[in-house]
Amino acid sequence: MNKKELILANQDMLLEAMLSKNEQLLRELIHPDASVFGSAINEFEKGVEQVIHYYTHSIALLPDDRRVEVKWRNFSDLDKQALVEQEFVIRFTLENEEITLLTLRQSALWIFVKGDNQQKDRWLLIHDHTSMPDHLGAFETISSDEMLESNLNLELETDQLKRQLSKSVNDLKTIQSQLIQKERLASIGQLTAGIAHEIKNPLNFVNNFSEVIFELINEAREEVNRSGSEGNSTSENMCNSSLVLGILDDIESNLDRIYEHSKRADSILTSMLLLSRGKSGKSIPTDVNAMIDEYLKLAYHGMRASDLSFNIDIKTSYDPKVPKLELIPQDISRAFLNIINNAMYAAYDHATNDPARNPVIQVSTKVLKGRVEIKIRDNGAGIPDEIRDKIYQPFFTTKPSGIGTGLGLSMTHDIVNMHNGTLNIDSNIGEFTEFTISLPVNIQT
Amino acid sequence: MKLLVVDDERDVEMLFLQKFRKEIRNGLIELVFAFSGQEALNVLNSTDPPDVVYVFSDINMPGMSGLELLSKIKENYPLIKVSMISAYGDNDNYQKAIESGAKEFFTKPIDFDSLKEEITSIINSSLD
Repeated sequence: MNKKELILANQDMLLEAMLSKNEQLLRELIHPDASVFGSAINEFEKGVEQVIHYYTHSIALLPDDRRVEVKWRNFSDLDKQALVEQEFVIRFTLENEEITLLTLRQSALWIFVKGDNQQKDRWLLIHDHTSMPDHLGAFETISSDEMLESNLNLELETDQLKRQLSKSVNDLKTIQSQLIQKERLASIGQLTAGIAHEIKNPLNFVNNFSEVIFELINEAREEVNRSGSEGNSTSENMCNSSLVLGILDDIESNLDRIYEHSKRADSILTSMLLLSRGKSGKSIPTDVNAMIDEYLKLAYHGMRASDLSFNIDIKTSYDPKVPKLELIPQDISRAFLNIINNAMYAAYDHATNDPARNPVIQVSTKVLKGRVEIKIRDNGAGIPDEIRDKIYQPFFTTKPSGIGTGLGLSMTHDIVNMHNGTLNIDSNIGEFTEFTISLPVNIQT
Repeated sequence: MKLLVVDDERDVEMLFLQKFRKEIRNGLIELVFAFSGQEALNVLNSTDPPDVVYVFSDINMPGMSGLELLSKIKENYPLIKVSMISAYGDNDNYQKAIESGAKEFFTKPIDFDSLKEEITSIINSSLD
């Protein structure tokens, strides 16, 4: 390394040590008798400790993420001394915005110090004169006090800006989570009627079947009473045991129905609770076929409850080979529900404009090479190419205002991605839309 | 006397067969079942003229709704009696059903006593 390279390297190190407030390094670079110079005599600081103090407490008061760029540099070799003049700009980034904090012009005088037993030959800073352009653009020497004040002001302003920005960001996050919650509640609200109906159905069966059991028990009792006491057994009076056994069989199968229907009501309530739960839950082995079928029914009854003229032909084809998948049920069910709701809405909406058209939704599942493919197809108006890439954007909706929040598909997309799945759309204008959700088989059997 | 019960819930079959087991055993009625509107029409079309005299239909079914089925039956077989059985006992459904020619409107859970009354009165009138 030649003299110039050596001194310029020191100059870089000085700047770095100043910005990082590395007093140790500053001490190694600064001559014990060094001085810094402001605009007036009283700004003059002399002695290594004062100089370090000046560096670390005034011009080094800069944001942590600042970047320093040397605009130009001039080197003058003065034999045992060397003068480095340079201009540098300090910038930092605030919320993706590049901000130029200040421009400084520095003249630094370096002096050669002969080495001894303990230390090698070295170049040390003996004098620094740093100035800052004023608002007119002319360079004027500023005092360390002025510099300090201006830095403090900048720091305050920056802090204020940062606080404002972080408040705005927090506000936006709050609004976003409120909207997500709103979307969640909207889909639950729409479902409530469907859920009520779906729970009422099994409960009606529980009600009716238990009623029948009472009747059957009475009938069996009558038969036993009719046959009279044991000593009195003529063939006429014999207890018709095949009749009684038949009644017992009926009671048994009725109890089985009651059991099944109460389980069904329970699983519907569980699904509803899953949907309303705000926090994301754990992945558990999930029966995709059963889940889709359940939400298909809930969505159908939900639609019907909000519009009595609503009807749709539901065609399903579930691959019995679909294995259980490790999924977060409350999330993935919401994704299915969103697509099913959209499909039903689209098919019905399209058919109301064309009486010859019967709204149809087709749902199918299939196992394909380590993946499960779920297709949800409607014979609605289709998705035009020009909005195909917009439909996953938050707040994008084609539904009339007040009907869609525009968050459904964007959430669905995120949920499917979160499960390492893919979401694809096939659509023909005026004919159909088909969503394909592909999820990896993630449980080894 | 043949009655057709239409509901997308399959357990309705078991329930009706047990509820009317005495009437069935005594040969007063025969029950047949369909699980969609289209299936119901197929049952009716399977004999000419249809041997079913009374249809009890659910309203909310995927595909053809009970109200659509009602209109189609009234259009093609005006003599067959049709009553609706629905979990939605609202005025709108009721009005539509009665306007389209439904005889009665029952709500779910089914009150089998009133349903039996209705069937008994039909049996009696057919015996007269």
